[in-house]
Amino acid sequence: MPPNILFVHVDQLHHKALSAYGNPFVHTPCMDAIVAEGFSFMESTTPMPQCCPARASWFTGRMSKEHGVIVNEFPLNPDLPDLGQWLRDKGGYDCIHIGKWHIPNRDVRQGFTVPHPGHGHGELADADVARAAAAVLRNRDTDKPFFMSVGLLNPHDCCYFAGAEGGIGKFGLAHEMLDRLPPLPANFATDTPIRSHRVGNWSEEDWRYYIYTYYRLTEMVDREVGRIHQALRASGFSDNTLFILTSDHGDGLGFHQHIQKGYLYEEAWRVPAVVSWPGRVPAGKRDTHHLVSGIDIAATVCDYAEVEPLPKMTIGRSWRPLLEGRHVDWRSHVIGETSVGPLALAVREAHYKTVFYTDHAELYDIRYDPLETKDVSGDPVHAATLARHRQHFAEYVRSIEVCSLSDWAQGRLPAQGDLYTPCVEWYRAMAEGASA
Amino acid sequence: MTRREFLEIGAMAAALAGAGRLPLLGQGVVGAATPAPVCVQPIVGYLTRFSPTVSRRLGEEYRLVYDIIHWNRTDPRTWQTTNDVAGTLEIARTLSPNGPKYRIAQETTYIGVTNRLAATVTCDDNNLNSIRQWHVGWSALADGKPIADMHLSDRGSVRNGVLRMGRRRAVQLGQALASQWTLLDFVGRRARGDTGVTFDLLEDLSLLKEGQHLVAAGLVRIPCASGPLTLRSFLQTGEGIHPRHYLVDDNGLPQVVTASMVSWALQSVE
Repeated sequence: MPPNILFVHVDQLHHKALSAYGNPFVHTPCMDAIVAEGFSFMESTTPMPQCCPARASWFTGRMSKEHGVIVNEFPLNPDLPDLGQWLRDKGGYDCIHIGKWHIPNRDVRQGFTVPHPGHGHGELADADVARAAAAVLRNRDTDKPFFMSVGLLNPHDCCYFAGAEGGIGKFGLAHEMLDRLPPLPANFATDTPIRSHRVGNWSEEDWRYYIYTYYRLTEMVDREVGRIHQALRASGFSDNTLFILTSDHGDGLGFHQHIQKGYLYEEAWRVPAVVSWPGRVPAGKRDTHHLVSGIDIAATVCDYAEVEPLPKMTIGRSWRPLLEGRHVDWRSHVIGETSVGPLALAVREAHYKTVFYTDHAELYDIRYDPLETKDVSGDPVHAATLARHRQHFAEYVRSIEVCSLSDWAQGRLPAQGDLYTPCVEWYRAMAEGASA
Repeated sequence: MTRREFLEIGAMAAALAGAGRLPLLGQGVVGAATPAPVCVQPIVGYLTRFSPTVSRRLGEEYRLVYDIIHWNRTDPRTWQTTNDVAGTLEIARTLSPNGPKYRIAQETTYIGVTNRLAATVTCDDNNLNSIRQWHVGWSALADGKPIADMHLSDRGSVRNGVLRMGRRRAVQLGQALASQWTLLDFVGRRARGDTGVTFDLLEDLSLLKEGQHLVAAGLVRIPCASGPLTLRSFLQTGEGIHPRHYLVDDNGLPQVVTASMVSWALQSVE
């Protein structure tokens, strides 16, 4: 019988905000325990660093420019099945969702039963969401396999501390907590053309206090993840459940003097990704070689559930061979994209990363410059790398079905209006230019 | 402001300034322009309809009822917050031969679901009411009816400094263990303004959050529906919590407790 699958996702977790990964400013014993018993993908990214697009990719196996949710609140293509519908119909799974869903134009109840909806504020509801998940694990009395998705909010509450709404962040305490505030990141002062918003005129103290509170929010959600994980281990499902933990995107956390997400620097683009299944997945493994993405979640879940892949999963790959230590030809690069602020697409290889914008490109040698402090796109030494990444961009565009403004999207667009057309035109130009 | 309040605030400010600390005045850039002290910024909107409960000095046995105040948003032009009452919290303390005993009943409602938490806690009779054994139950309801499978019941204990909860691995504690509910007794009746305490927190009697510090943070004057109110402030910081303020009146009654999204405001005392 295929395994149960427990997919726990947190919101806005920086890829290094775990004490298990050496961060001395945060204490995450519960996620550390999962890292210790599981397999960490250390080079993991999100398909797009914003809530709705990333989540839509998890559940459809499509990139944001395919499924339609190109920015928060843009609608999902109603013709695409989601994992809940797919595993229920193709695999006979009980599909359960608890907590944050946040995929516009898709009622979660079309594919999942929802015993508890949660709330958009983690401090209010994460404990109830985690209890609800623990209650399912404790009280469930059927052998039918389940796929349970659990959406916890924090550390996303940090969004409400930033900028004009900073009052609830109690920033005025910064001055008397200086000895406890983490330092600024080493690339804090790096000048970048891409500026995040809503930071006002923060002082250095404010920045450090933001980082301090972000880590406290991370510790909050750590304990809730632990509540679920410990409930699993105490349940009768422990031996036959694949456990996946990841985040929809990261957070600026002061890197590049940024907060929040929506852009393609590592702090927003990369996410933690840990898989555990004692006896089936190596314990304590940290894979620094394979480039993976949240676009792979759907392929991985379908693989373990022993159902056919979701239709037209173009670039998503199952992690199963990697988790089982089997040799497999893996991708040489990973793609990320965004329509938040400047339209952009990133191509990342093991050593180099290019972020393409409509008017320029930035190339980073992330092997020696992991904090992305020096754009080397103008250096002739790296011309071949830039050309290769441009080629990867074109190949990517040709491999996907780029979503244009269609009937199902008309009338459902949020205030930004039609963001599809500029993207379609840019992608087409990049594909044609590379071909020429 | 009364003469006593003026003198107390002046003396406290002078003492703190001498020590290089001037808390609660909003020195950071963010939020500095807000009219309310830092400690109540998450509930500024709620305070316009809050009047302090008629106070009396707490004895060993009492029952406190709080509104659970939820922050929704802050208007960036006026700094006014939108707050709603998400539920209630009752904390009843009695004495028993085994030590102080607490009964907790907490209920919140949002997105059509009511979350009920009920707990009993027996504590050591010491300064912090260190928790010794407890039972906590949780359930969720929709339209007043229990939701299938949405219930939990757990027990735990601390013996010789070892924390045990259900089938979880036992944990050796390094210091006293408190819950957010039993801690109110300390800030209300036993805390001294010139000393701080350290302890571990068992949030909701379920989640261990180590390394908590609680310190007196001076007097604070907050706006209320019935006019400005001067309260003593205590600040808790530590792992896994947003900085929490406990605001206590002259009789030791904790009138307001604030975190960020979720705060408490006293409604009645018996």
